[in-house]
Amino acid sequence: MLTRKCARAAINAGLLAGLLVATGCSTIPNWSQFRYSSIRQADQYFESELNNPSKVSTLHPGWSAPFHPSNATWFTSSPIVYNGMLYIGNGNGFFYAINISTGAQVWQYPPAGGKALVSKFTCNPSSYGIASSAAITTIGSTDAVIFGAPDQSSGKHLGDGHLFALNAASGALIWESPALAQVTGTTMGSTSELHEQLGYSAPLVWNGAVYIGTADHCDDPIQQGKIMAVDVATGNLKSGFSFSATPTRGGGVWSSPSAYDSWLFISTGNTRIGASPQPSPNYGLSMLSLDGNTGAVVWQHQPVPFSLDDDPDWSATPAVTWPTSCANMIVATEKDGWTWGVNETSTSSAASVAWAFPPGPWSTGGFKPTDGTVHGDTDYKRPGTSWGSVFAGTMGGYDTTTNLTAGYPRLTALNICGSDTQRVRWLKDIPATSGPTYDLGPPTVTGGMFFVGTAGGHVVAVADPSIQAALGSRCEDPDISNSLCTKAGHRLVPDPWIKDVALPGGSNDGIFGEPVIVNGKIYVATWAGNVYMLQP
Amino acid sequence: MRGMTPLVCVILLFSAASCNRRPTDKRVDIKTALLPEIAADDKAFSAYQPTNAYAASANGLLERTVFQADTAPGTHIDVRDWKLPPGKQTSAITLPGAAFIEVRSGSGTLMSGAQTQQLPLGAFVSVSQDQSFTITNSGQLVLTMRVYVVTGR
Repeated sequence: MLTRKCARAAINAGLLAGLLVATGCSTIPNWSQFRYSSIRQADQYFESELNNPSKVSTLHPGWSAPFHPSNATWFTSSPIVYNGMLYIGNGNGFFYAINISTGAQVWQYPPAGGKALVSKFTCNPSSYGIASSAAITTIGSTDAVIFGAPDQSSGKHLGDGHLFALNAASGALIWESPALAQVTGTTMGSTSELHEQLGYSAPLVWNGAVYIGTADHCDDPIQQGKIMAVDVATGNLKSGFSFSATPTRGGGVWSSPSAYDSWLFISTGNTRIGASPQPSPNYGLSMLSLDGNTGAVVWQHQPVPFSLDDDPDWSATPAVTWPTSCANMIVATEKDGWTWGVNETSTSSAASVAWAFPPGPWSTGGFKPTDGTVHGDTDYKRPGTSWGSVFAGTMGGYDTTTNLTAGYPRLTALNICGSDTQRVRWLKDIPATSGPTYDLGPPTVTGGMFFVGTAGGHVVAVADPSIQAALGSRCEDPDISNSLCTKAGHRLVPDPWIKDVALPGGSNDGIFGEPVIVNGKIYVATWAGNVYMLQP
Repeated sequence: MRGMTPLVCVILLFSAASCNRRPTDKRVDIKTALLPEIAADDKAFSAYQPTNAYAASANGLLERTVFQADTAPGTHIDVRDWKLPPGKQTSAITLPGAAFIEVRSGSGTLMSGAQTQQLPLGAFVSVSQDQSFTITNSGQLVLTMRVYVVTGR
């Protein structure tokens, strides 16, 4: 019989083997789903030239021209790359396969002349066409690509959310799921209609099922957030699985589920709207672990109570940190700017919180109505990347309570396993950001070289000081000058080396999604409907 | 498998699951131990500068102005941020107008004459114009306060 430790090690080994298979170890390294793998670390495990700062310093656009499909609108989804092909959906309602050697289109779905996968409820970029990043799996013996999209063929013909599985080589439809998110009307604010959407949630393929979150169109009004699961072989609803964040309204799942062992990890949106009473149970504004077979809640972390819910949706996809020098954690930043590390093996229904950043009394009991903290509709919505015992992303930081939005253009790296006083590993204010929101996309990493796209149309590489000497030191509190830092009770931390690459499209061609790292090349998609390849 | 260490399990199972890999398929080393601490007196600063940095005040606080405006006729509002490191106490502070002090992080104590007032997280306390007081940070975290000073012109 396996000992507990050995069983755990077996899970880890299985995960690693799974990652290798999922990322195509029989051919070349891949990036086969949003955030790279089911644990959503966004860490490309395989060695390449992009681990070498001297090579990274020569990064430049590859292909003779970016891929730009006809009638393209924005790319808010991120590319995935598998066995020489890049897959991505556009806001125009078409899904594309591209040859990564040339940037040329191989196929599109629906085929030319087909009806675009768009919604008639249009209010923000997640509403129009395909905002969901895709995932690769195998159905029978066929490589398949799965994504979520609105489709006007069902229900009231307004654009219910469905999952699609296509033959990855040909683009032929393998199955289309039943409607997983329903739109029964387009009257803004109507509480008698359903305004559900799949939106930005990317499918997770795990243990024979495909999971995806449902949220709403523009909170107008908020809808009942759910995780929907279908059988990967057929697309039919998975029997015995059910999760709703509330019995009424709220708790939208804007993020993409992650998985480890038998558990799913999700984050949920707000539940307080108008004078409505708190739903019971209230799994909104939470990081949750669910049983992957049934959807039952294993543990919940809800740091912001209902009375302080001013719409700080938890919309960043949780990352499972693994392998680390401490216990595995589930880490994500909530929209209010606070980042949370929760022990993956929390055994009671209340999660075991390892730490909060910035630290404070909320670390142990969550926020209180008397603590003066504010939890509103700010824009810390992007998932971070987990590289060993380091988590990096966009977050509020030490200035959260006095300068809340200042963190939008900044990457902060945290030591997952350090003490509160060791939490900050480095800070980097990223150049070429613009706009009041979404300054940075979700970062990715390979071997300590982090990549992030900016709203100003740049791809920026940031080198962890363990692989490239930093440019000097700076205060871990970004509002304190370096010379006063230690006198103010803070630490000096490294200010890392960066390489800033401007895309040819300029500031009108910003990057919303993640830079995908495959075999020494970077692939990014942009607001102006372009897909670029960068290479040393 | 009794007695087998987790590491051995990983190696065995990983070997069984692995496949022939080309040189480009080598796994990258993960070097994520804590970085060496930078000395408190380090002067090798990067070029980064805050856009509205705190400055050291003679009373022991770090201070910056975040908002100033003439409001109702004859009044002026001045919004400042104060920081006080753990274990530190200010010298006497007086303000040019009536003020509200709001604790944004950390905790401490405000002393004015014989009176002592706790400053827990979220506290919102008032002080009078020209009232002399000191603040002590008795907690483990930096005490951060937002101060709203209203003065007559």
